[in-house]
Amino acid sequence: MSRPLIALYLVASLVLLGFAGDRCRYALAQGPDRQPVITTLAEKAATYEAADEIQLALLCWRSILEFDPEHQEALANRQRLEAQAQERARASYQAGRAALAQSRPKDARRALLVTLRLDPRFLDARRQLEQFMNPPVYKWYRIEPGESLADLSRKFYRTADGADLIAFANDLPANAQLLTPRMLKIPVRAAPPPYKAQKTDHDLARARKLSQAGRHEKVLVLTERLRRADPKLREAVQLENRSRFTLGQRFFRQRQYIKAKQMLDGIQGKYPGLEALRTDLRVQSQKQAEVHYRDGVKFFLNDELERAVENWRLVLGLDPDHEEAAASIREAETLLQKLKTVEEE
Amino acid sequence: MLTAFLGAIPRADSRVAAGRLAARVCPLLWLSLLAFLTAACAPPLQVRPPSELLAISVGPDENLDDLARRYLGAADRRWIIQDFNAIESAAPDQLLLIPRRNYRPGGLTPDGYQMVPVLAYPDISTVKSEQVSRIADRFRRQMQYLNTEGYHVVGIHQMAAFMAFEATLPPKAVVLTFDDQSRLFFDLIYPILRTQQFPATLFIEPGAVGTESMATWSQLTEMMESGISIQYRMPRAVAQSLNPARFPKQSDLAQAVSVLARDRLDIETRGGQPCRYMAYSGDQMAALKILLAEKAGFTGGFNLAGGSNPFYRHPFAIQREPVSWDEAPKAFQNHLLVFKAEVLR
Repeated sequence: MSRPLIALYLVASLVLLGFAGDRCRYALAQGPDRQPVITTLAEKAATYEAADEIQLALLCWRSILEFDPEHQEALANRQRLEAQAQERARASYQAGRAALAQSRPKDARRALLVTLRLDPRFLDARRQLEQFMNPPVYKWYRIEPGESLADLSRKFYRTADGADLIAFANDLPANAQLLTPRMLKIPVRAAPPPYKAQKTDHDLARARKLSQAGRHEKVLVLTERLRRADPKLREAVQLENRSRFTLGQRFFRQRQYIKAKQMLDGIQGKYPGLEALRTDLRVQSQKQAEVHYRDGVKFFLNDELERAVENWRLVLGLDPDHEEAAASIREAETLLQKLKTVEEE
Repeated sequence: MLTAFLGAIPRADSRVAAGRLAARVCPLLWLSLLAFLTAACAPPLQVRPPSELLAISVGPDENLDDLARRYLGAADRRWIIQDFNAIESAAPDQLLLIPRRNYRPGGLTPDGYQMVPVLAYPDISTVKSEQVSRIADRFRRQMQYLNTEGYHVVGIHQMAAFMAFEATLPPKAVVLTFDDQSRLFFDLIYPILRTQQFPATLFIEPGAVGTESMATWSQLTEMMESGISIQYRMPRAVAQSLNPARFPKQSDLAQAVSVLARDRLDIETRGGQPCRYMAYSGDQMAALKILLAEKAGFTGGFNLAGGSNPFYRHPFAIQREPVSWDEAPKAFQNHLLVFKAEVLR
């Protein structure tokens, strides 16, 4: 017999044996050996569930189903635990969002961590944690028509000298004309200076004066600092609520509904007229969202996909539950990605 | 194949043919027997490995290191088996479960969550020469403390995977980093790390490699081959150019980015390993440093703010805890916050 034939036979045998070896060992698991494994896994799952380690308990039940897909107890427990994990995670996430809106960062962090412990795939919870539990690196800002880089610099840094920095952060030329609507990232220039407790009285007095003078943006700067030092400082909360409500009304009248919503969301507890304003805002936001949605559709039909996406993003800003806008963005982004791939090829 | 093989035998004399057949088949039989024996001697995987969780029975002479090596790819991953099965050692015939994926994302438990201290040692070459041997001795004791108290020293990439929610870290995980690239480090500190087999990270400025009293590229490469990661430290000149008192020009920022990107590539080319992380100091201008690092192609940044890190820390603002070379174990242990207790139910 020719040597190549022997070599070929040998190689083929070894390869087949490699597979067969696994099959043989696999077969062992189907025999009497699998019962102790299933028992151990079930015991482990029960222990984990008792300790509220739902994901680990689920891992055990899922593993039992790999040994025996018809295992009734495992099927029932998997279904029950998955539903329980999802439900608890969702409730915890809502609690976290509410705590964030009410400026209770510790409660928010705890609730978001619980969410992720129960459902590690809850991406929104992770995003919220990373966004709100870290010192900001950038602030996102939606430019208003007619604003220039120098205007933004003055707005955020109180000097026009930061225009270059904003341009650099957004990959824009220094003298770029800003087109609306567009979001820009504004680098946070320096860590806020440590707050000195003895300044509390002085800052409160200033905040009171500014509030009486109707300079509510400045009031918010002061109250934010005051509440960072003492989150329960009652007068600071009252002053902030008043300023937020007044600014919310102003933005509402100016049809800047997203800003108005952001202002009102930060109000802690009850405030006279707040619910009525929220209702009006919701109605107007939805109307405005429909206008943007239709504009987006028009752009889409004219093959201006990026402008379409920009409009639909505005829709989501006004009405986060607008499912058509979310679906349209996904569709347009898929198309944009395909176009990009084709162009690269 | 076998039919073709038999078909090739001449049929003239059946006895001769039988003899020839035996002569040809015998080696194959021996080879097949050998292959079967090889398969039989393969690790006794007694039960089927499910995709997420492996169930194994401990062999007569097997210990946790053997199991970790066989099923998890490395002996130093024995902690996974210990942690998941709540055991210290394995007994023959014991049924053990081995998770094959990230089973505790973020180190979240019902009683709190994992924190990862990143210890930052300063440049040893700044120490007075008469103190050097005493300091090396103290450092050795610090490393022994980590070993005897059950801390797990992990590498910077493992930590990055943990923070990205992609990997579980061992309990009591610690990261060691050094702002040092001196020859003294190579001569005194590296041997201690090598003895303990601790992965560590050196943050270096490539421009200074091989200059007076600094380690050479061949020394750095030797360290890299034994598990030391070489990453980048923002040069003082670049940091100083970011004067907090004035805003940088766009051209200055572009220049700074090109320096960082060039240095990063230099480390990757000479070291042959990816350079993804940048260390920087100071809180002031942190956002700007992060912006520069992002634009230069880094994926993470380490500051010197002090404290330990939860998984949700901003990837460019990972906090390093400054440690002195000569701290006694009692003071040293204060740097090792590895768990944040908080009810997460």
